[in-house]
Amino acid sequence: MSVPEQPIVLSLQDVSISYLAHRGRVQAVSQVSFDLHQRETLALIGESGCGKSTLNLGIIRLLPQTGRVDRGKILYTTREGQVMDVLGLSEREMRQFRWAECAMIFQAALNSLNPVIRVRDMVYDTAQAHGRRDRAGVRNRMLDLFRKVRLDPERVFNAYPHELSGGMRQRVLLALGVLLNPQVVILDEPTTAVDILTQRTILEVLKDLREAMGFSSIFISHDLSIAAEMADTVATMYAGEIVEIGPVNELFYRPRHAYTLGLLQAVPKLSAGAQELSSIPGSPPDLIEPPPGCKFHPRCPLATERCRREPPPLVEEVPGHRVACFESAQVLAHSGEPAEEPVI
Amino acid sequence: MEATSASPVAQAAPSRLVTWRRVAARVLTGYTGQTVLQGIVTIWAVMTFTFILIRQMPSNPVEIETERLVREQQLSYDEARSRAAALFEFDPDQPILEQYVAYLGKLIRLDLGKSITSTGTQVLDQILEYLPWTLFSVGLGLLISFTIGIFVGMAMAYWRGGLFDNLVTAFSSILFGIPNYIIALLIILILGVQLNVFNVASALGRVDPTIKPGFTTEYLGSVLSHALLPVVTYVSATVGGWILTMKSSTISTLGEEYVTVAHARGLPQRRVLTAYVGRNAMLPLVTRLAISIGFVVGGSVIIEDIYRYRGLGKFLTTAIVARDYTSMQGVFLVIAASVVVANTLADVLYGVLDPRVRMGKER
Amino acid sequence: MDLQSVASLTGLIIGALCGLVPLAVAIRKRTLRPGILGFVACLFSGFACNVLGGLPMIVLAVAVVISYTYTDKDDPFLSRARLEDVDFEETFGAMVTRRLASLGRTTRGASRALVRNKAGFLGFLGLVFFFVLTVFGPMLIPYDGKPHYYDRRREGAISLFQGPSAEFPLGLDWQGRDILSHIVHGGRSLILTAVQAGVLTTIIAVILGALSALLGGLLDRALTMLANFILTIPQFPLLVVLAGLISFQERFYLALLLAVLDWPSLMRAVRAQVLSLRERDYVEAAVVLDLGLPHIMLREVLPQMISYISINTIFSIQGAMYAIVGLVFLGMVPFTEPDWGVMIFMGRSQGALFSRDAASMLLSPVIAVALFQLSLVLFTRSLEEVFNPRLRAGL
Repeated sequence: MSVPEQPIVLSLQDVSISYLAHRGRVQAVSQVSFDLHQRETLALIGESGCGKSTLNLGIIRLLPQTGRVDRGKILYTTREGQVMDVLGLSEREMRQFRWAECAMIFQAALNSLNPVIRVRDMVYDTAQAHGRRDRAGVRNRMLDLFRKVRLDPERVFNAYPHELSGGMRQRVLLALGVLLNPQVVILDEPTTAVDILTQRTILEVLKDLREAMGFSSIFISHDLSIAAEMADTVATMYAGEIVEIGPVNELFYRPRHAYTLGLLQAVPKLSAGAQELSSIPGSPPDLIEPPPGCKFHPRCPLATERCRREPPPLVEEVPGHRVACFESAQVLAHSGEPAEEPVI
Repeated sequence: MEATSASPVAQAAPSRLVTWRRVAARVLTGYTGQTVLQGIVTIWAVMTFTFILIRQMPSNPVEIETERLVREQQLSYDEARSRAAALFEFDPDQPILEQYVAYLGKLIRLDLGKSITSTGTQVLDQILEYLPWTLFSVGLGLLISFTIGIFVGMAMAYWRGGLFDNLVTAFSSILFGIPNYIIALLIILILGVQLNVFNVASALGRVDPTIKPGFTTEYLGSVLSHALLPVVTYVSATVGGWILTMKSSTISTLGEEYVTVAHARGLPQRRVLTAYVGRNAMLPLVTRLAISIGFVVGGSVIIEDIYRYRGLGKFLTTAIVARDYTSMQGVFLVIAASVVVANTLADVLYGVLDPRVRMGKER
Repeated sequence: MDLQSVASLTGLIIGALCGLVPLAVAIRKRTLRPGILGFVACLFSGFACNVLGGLPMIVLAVAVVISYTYTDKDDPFLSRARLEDVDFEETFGAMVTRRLASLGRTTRGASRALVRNKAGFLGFLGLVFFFVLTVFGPMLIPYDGKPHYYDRRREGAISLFQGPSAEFPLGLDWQGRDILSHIVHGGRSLILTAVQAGVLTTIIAVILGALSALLGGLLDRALTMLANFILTIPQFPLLVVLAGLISFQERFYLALLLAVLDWPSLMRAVRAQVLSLRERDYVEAAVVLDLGLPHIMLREVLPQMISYISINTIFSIQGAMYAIVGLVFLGMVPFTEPDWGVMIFMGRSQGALFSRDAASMLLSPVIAVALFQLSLVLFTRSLEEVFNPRLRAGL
């Protein structure tokens, strides 16, 4: 899975997104930069409210009225090699971009489908919005995709959304997402709201689709095990910033940020004996008036005076693995320990 | 094989009977059958109820006519009474049960009886004379009000918090609060008398009596101009409610996830507005509309009184004052029937528009 | 409920006496301002409604006063006391104090919410205006009931009508009587009957709806059929018929009749809500804990619906007023002067519709009714704020 050699499809450069709230401006996403290569799956991990969903909505520019992208560039390369800044596209161009180039599958598709029209009408809607008027062709392709996601094609195609279970609707949305053969698929916690068996099915289906169609994807989750299974690259987000990003194996076996380490250690291990569950004490910071220096420092056991004063920059310590932590060496040292007692 | 002894005809007859019985059973217990049955029972109950009720009212047509004759022609009571009794086809001393049975008998033949006070005229004919006018004015008002409500309400939901939103909300709340006959009086008083925007005397009534009825532009023009004030009144009194309901319904629909997903799918704004937002936001209003249609037939008694618009409402009040039992019953019956029909239609319509409801019914 | 004896001096004295109670409590707790506020409130309500107004206001005023100074020492969440130190046994007096304090806090929160919504506050002011007008107005402006055929007639006038002037701010009616006095005196019985009808409707609808939903079975089906039946009959024509049937010497019976015709729509809504709430977890929990039907109804189910119910009460009052004025206007109900509806009726039959001089006779009651209905509608927006805690938090 040596991905970085592939051409870059999506490149975020110093993107910051904020919301207007009663008390002031909430900095939901700060200076996020990463590159997504072809056929690469990037997992975004973090606590609730760390800005993952906001970032995704920002990429397809569907932020609510109170939100705006303060600065940054989102460079997208089409299949023909044309590069464009998504943030500079007109409304009409945006509509073409959405779904055809970059599709976003929302979390818990329970309410993602219009309850008063049939699935097939939604399919034709989507196709027509992107200029594909050949109904028969679209229909065949959709039925084929339904088979790939393990749904009964005819029945589901003609059904109303309320006739389908939650897991089925999620798969319908998946199939619909890849209908127009986008280069990037963003998946917002696709398995969070379903039971564990359906979870398995959805993951299998995702892998099949990815293999067959070759799209890149951004996968949001707070389930580390799923991220480990599906992703090529993993990025941890905290308080709207990417604090660590690197290949999956690197990150999981040799984390260099205290937050990543904390997350990893919070997962109960089968091999360890009965021990008290560890977690990261405290709660995410106030994004209107964030703490000075490193935003994680109030909860970090390895925080030093420097951490409290200066925000650490994202540096590439090892090729392909970037981290924003002054104490990364210490973190690396801790991660090597077989951890009989929780470190934090 | 040998042919059976029974002739084909004898064999066919019992099986046809069995089939009919089976069909009847399925229809009667099926959902449609149940609804229709319920409707009929309701109408019957209303009819019986009003029948008994109006006969409890003090005085009756014969008494009224007797008093009038005594007063105006100075006849003795007995003479007046016998003359009055002969005038109307109505015997006040007949026991209620007999009257009821007789009425039922006529009803089955769709005969609503004859008006007691306007001797000789069939109630049905009279109703048919007045009903279309009420249907026209109130129905037109309802339609206009609904349409305005839908569009303005949706627009307000999209442009929330703007000047348009606040202005219209304030305006609607004010209009909605004032009773419709007060609006009518204000229109006449302020616009008509004080500001003289129109000539009050010629605006009353339902059509210019000097024009010959027919499909001429002159006649139709008069009809429309005379219906203008009542329709404006109906619309003013009700539009506020439609606007505010549609606005809140649209706002909650806009918050639904499938709208965001629809945008994420790159659908054009127009399509999202109609098929995604519009259709879902309209659902609660459509039922209200269907039910309101049922009450259109009753019209507005007071408005028709104020504008001297001779519709069903006016017919009813006149009948009540004159104690014209058959006419009153006729009107009540027609109104009850239309309410029942409208309610049933509302159910069906909702089932057509919202497939989620359909499933439940078929069980 | 006869309010003929309102706004009298005895009321003032009663109000003052009642007001001493919250004042005393406030002095004991060493906060003067809420005490004075409570005194004024008791004074006002006693003045307006005698004992009926004074006594409840004592409770409310004392509650507000207490809430200013109350700190719940035993509440482990608020006072940050350690769990071991909290004593869960409380004396009766302590419980009463705690309840009153929470009542006071709720009242203050509600009044803040009331003021916040501009439209709602406007409606509230309107209602206060009418309350003052109909309750206190009669004290100031005597009722001009006798016709003045000669002493007020203008030179060369063809009728006794007169437009507004300095002496008679709203002009004179068809019998030369002062319209202003009629407006001031004519609202009371109308508003009272409408309020009675609205309250009765709510009581009947809530009880029947909740019982129907909670008990189910035959009772439910019978009540639903009855409700549907009443809804099918056109309301106003039926009202007209019934008005001819029953003589309304006591306005209360008119209110009762209106309530009998109005309860079905609210009852169906209550029933639907209770049915859906019945499936909710906390209600099931209460049932399992065998907490009893009244408890379930009052403490678990109704608080959820209070917003909807109170708004509906206002609409019932509005509808009742529509019906009453309409009936009087059509001449279907015996007249009792003074009455706004009667003024409208007489105005129309005496030709005030077409004469410029006489416009005031018709316009005044019309505008009075319109303003009252309007205030009711605007007030519902405040009620929405008061009862919806999410809105109240300013989100």
